[in-house]
Amino acid sequence: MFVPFRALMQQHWKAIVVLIPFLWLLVFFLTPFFIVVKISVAESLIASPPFSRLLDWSNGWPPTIAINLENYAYLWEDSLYIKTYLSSLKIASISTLLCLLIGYPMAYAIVRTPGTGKFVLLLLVMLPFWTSFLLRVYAWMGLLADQGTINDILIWLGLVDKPVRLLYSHFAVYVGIVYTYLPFMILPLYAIMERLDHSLNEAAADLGAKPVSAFFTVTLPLTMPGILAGCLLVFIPATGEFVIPDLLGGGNVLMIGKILSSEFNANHDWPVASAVAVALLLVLMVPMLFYHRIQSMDVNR
Amino acid sequence: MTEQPFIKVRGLTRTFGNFTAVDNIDLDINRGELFVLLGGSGCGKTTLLRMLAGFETPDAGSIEIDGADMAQTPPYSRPVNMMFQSYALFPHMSVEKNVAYGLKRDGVDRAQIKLRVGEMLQMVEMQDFAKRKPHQLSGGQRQRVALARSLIKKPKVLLLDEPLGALDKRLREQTQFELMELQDKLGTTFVVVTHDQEEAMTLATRIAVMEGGRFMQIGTPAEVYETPATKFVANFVGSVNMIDGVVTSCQPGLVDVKTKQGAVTLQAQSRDEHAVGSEVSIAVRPEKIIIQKTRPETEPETPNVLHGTVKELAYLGRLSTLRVETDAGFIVEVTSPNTTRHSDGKHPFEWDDEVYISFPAASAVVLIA
Ligand SMILES: Nc1ncnc2c1ncn2[C@@H]1O[C@H](COP(=O)(O)OP(=O)(O)OP(=O)(O)O)[C@@H](O)[C@H]1O
Ligand SMILES: [Mg+2]
Repeated sequence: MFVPFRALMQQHWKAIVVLIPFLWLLVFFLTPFFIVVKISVAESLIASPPFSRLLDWSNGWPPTIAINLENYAYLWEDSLYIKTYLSSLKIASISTLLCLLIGYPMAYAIVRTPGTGKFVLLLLVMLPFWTSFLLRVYAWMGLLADQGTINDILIWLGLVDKPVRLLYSHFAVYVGIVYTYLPFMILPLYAIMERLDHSLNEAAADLGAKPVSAFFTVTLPLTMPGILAGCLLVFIPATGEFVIPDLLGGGNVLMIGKILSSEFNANHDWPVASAVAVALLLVLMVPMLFYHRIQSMDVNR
Repeated sequence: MTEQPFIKVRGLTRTFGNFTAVDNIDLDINRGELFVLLGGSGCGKTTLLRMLAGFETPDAGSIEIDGADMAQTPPYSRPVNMMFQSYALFPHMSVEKNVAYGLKRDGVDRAQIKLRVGEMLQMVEMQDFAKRKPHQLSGGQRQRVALARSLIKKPKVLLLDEPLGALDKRLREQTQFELMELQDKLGTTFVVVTHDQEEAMTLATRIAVMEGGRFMQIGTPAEVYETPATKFVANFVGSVNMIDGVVTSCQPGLVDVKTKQGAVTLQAQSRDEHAVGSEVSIAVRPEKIIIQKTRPETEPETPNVLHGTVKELAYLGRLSTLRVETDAGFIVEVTSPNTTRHSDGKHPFEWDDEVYISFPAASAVVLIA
């Protein structure tokens, strides 16, 4: 039966509207992901490309499927990888917490700023995006180095007499991550606080809640979706962060992004690098699923 | 012994930039009163209420509640609760939790909270909805929850900002009576804001009519309606005929006024002295005017009898409104009750009927401003 296009659109427009981005994701996320998974179960070879094929056609039909789980076993056995995952998660968690502690009051202050001041402040939060991320990390190197701006000032003030080690430390990595990802915390918090009805706080005060109590019983629970979204937006990319630990952390800071890069570039071990990436994705699924659970709980309530 | 007013406001002023929202207001409200603030949009009602609750800091003046000065008292320690115009229910809490909120903040023990919340929900007939969230309630139900929440702490004063604004007419009228009953039962002092004059008349023990941040008149509903102090009050509270003229004589209690249009003499009662020659208006409510087809049988020189023609007619069911153009030239609005049924579809008065209208001097008031 012939179904006219108009009628099809009218009946299924919702499905169609959803389908287009879905297909996009399918093609441009799932395809490379499957390639990575495929490489992760291959064997490392000195060849081009440097890994064995999934389907071996050398014996004709049917092809033999070669799945090699060695790479995953290797991740499990070599304590370096587990240590690095844990270190990445720790650094990402602490950075996320720091972003929340700094970002929450900032978002609150921006929302409560009257008039055009609000938009100026919001613009300032987004301003760093207008220059290259790499450039900004290099700028931090200049600030934190032994002969860098901060040490120069400290010495000039007479607070220290020889440079303090700032660069190539955990401290530098935290500074870098918090600095880079703070806007991702502030923006969702701003969005939700902007919609917050101020009369709810007045109602709380009217019913006897002191400001602190009103914050914990009204403002905090109502901004929780923004907190969760912001934390996720910081935590997930921070866990896999490569540039910041590489440039600011030097050899002292273990992060999985660095391992991945060195497996891939220095060791030319694509299969292990791919296994590292897949394992990272699995690790990051945990907070994602957790977030999803909380959200669907919220909808059901 | 005269009792001290329960709420005592003196010289209260609040400005926003160079705009004065509340302008040097004095106000006394007695214990147990149902006091209504009546006024048009933007006249400063909410601002005044918010100053009583402590959300707005006065630029000048003082507020005393039950003998205690409120200047240094933050909202969370005032013996006052407010029912917000938007209800401001906490969206993340159930009905039960919303109502319990005030008691919890005071550290009342759990069993006691459960008991009192139960009683309160019973009182506003919301006991079956205790577990629902505000977004699962109708407008009228939300309003009840807001009321319950603001009453749970047994405040000395309850401030209500347009409490019935979101309800349809029927529910509104029903709720007005419930509100009065509740107030009677609890004996709490209520201060209610509204811009609906009928609602104000129904609820109030006393009304303050507000305009431009000031009080135009404070009085019982009957006082405000029958003897309005200014033209604004007369117009705002009910409809009124306002006839401009000049005072020709002023005997004690009676004022003769020659109308500007048509130069007929009208007589009105007045407690005040009015200088001969001063410009005044005579205000008569439409329902106080008698309309007849024949000249009323009074002595010929009786004032306030006017001949005219029916120019407009509106049948409103309970009564009809007629606009009569007098021979003097001005138009007078008259309402006439439809006491008998005219099954033939005819009304006692029709367009272009010649009629006599009259009103006793006691039904009219003289207004200057
Ligand atoms: N925060 C504010 N900043 C500036 N102007 C304000 C502020 N709050 C109120 N106003 C002004 O003060 C005046 C009185 O406002 P208010 O809210 O008290 O009016 P209202 O009598 O409650 O009116 P409505 O019946 O429309 O609620 C208005 O003209 C309003 O624009
Ligand atoms: Mg208002």
